[in-house]
Amino acid sequence: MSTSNGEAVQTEHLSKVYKDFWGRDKVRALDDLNLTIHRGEVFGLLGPNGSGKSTTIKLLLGLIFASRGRASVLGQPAGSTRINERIGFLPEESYLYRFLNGEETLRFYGRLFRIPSRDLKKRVPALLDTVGLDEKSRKRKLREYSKGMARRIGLAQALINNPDLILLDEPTTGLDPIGTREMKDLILSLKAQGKTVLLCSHLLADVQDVCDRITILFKGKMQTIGEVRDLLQVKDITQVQTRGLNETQIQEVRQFMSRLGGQETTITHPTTTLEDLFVRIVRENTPDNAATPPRQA
Amino acid sequence: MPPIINDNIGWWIAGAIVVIGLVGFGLRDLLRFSPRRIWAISSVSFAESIRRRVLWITPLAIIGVIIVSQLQHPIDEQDAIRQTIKFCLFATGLLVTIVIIILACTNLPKEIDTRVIYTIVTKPTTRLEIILGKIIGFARVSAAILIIMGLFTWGYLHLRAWNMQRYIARQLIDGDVGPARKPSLEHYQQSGLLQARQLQDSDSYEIFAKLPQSTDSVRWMFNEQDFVVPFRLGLGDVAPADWQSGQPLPPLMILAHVYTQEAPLTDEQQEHLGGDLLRGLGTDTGGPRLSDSQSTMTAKRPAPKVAVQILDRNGYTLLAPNILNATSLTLHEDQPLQIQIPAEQVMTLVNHGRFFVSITGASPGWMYGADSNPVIILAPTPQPGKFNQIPPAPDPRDPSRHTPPIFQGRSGTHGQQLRGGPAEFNPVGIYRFHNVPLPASGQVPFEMRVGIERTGDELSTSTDDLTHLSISARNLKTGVISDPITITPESLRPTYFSLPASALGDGNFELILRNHTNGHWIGLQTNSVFVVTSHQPFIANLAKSLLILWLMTLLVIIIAILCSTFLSWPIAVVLTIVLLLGRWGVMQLGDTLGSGIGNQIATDFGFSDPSQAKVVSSSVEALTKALTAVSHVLPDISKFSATEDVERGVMVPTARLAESSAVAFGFGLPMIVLAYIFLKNKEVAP
Repeated sequence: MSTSNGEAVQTEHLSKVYKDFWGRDKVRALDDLNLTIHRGEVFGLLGPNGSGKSTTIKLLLGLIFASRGRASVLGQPAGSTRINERIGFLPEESYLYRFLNGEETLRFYGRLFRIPSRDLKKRVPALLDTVGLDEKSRKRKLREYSKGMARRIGLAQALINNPDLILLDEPTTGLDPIGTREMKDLILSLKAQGKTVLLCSHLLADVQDVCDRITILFKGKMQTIGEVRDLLQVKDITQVQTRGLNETQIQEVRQFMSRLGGQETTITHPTTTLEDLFVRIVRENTPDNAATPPRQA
Repeated sequence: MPPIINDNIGWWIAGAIVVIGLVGFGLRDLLRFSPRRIWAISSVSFAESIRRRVLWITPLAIIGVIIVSQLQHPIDEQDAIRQTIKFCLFATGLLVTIVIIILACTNLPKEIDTRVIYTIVTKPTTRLEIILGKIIGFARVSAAILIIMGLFTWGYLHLRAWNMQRYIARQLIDGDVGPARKPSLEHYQQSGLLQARQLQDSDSYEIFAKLPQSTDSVRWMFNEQDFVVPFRLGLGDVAPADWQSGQPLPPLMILAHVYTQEAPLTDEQQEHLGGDLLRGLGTDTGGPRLSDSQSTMTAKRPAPKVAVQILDRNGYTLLAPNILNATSLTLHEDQPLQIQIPAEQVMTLVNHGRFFVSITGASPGWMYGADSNPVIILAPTPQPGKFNQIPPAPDPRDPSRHTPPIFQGRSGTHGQQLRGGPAEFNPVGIYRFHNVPLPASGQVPFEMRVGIERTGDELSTSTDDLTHLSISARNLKTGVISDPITITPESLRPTYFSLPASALGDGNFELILRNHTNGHWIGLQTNSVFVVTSHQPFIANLAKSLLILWLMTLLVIIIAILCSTFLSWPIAVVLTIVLLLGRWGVMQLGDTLGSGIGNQIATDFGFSDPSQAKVVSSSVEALTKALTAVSHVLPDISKFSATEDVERGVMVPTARLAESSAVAFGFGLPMIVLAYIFLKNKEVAP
């Protein structure tokens, strides 16, 4: 396989077949996936449950082995221990040691990267701030964490090594809308730092907000791939937005469009998203502005 | 296969697994090896165990030990301490082994099941580091348990010993002690109850009819005693040049020279012989007579007779006297005994290789003597009337000469019996010591443990009659015999005595034992008498035994983690136990798995058809061979036994530490490599 050093992830005919006890084919979880993720982009892996999203991520991380085909990550064969130095991974659930507290968890993972202790002393509190875990929370055992807190510490451990490639499996699961917004802001800030993010989710709105490109998997096969705006664009409909028109002027616009030959012209007032409304209300009613937007990792 | 490989096959297999595994499969991971990552993983395993309150089990074990030790029924104060040590170390060993097996077997499957392993293997952590990290983590847990239990053991034993010492002092002051017990109590008071001594046992123990002198060419025994002569026999010694496998070997001939001398008859013997005399049993004594002082008794004696048999290397009968037609052979003057070994039995001897020819005095009223070379075996040659002489095996201490005959007493419940009675009827027991490191002056302490049987009452240890045993030392360099001391040993209890260092010379000496109590039989074995050569603090001995226990837990952890890399945890627990106990189990079966078990099973199950019987027999033989072969590559956990020494107050030898380390690492290292290979090729995502 000719691995391109310019690509963050590249797969060729990647397939995974799970076998039963007797070695017979049981489930074809992934079938002939040819995928390229460019460096510096946020890429979304979409699909319903059982479509092969998690299987793809597990193959890229070496948690399972391919039945056929090849995959490379940051120019190295997938699963290579050496390349793990540059990867951060947030699993679907926060699979962490429940008897450690937040700080101990990050120190442990930091040691696995052989980060010097003096650097860890600075990086651990900074990361905990970044993911929004306060002083009190970081001293509590992980088994006492809420689902949202567990996602935050999970994200922090994925970023402990300042990775070039971050794989996020359902990153907003369990988060409230504020946490979801913070997570999306964080993803965008990671992108701004030039990092590559592979986002695996079935919450389409989240993906749409942050991803540059997406692919949709179904029954283990790649159905489509491309830039989000290209894929979502409805080419035969034109949308014009403006501010400050009164009802008379709107009526004139409608007549103008009709003269141009426009059909089924609709002129409405746009609505905001429920998420935007929720975030705005919470922030307006938080005197100390506790729900601070995440800082850069 | 060359002997260097054949003799060390286990080590070669272990080395091959380590080299091939690491170089062939894991060179890259080996180059990325990071002790810091290993320590981080081990710290998490350790913290998990501690925070799951694994150590809380130790107070329960401690309470259990205290309760059980209060319910014990010791025979004396030293025995109480001995039993307490046993309970403490047994509880420690059991506790740490169970905890470690459960922790190590469940850890990896649980992390895979809960997917915590995702966050470990997606870091720059090699599978080798994961395996080593977990092993070290659980080794730290076992060390913590051992330290806690060790501190408890040390403290509790000191408390009990202090309490016992006070009780002993009170007994001695009150004078409420029997004469047999007093020396032991005084010894406990003086030396303490928590001891760690280095003991040296004797090189040999023999029983003679009279004390042999260095100038004696013949040594003597009473009837019912025997002397044995060791032989080594190979196929080349007995097979003719044209012999082919399957053909019978020619019969062999034992040639034995036995001297006789009249011995005084005890009243009981005279009474017993009365009936025989009335029946006119022979009066011809035959054989060379060295003394005729008891001529009036001679007329009453039966002819001197002996029985001859062949024993295996463990002293069990290989060819009984009736097979050799040597149940009762009369000795004739200047005529050696000739005993034929039947042709069909020769291969048995060849298969055993090493065996003893045993000659037992069978007629009372006689002493039976042997010079330094009393027995040879003759093998026929192709030339009629010519024989090959097969001499006794070389002496291990001086291979340039043949092993002299070894004189043994009658076997009793507790060993070779030293009969008690008046001096002229008494056999003398000789313990021979060589190169014992001794102080230049002062008293040298000895310890003895005997079993005493009394005439007509084998279980009469409860009787109050004292047994008087005199002991003197003969300096082997000067031949000077020291004044005897008399002790009164108790049956199956340790007895302590001391002799002046000046009587023991340069450490090469004999202890001469005589039993003076009529009707008492003192059972003695080669390791019944020890010289105490040095002492060590009890805590050092305890620490050594705990270290050996820790090495064992290290092996347990390695095996448990290996099993858990490819099995679910319940099956991993079972397999771990099987691997640990497999060799020990096969050793317990012992001779049952020896040659011939196939035929025996075929016979027991009633296979009358020869072809069926042959199939069953060969299948069973093949299975037992496979079982034995497999057991030889399993770890020998008997090398981890140190408890018994600590219990007995004996210094745990440093060599035991080396042996246990060799087993732990010799077996453990290849298992680590196998665990690494299994985990490396395992999909950790369920």
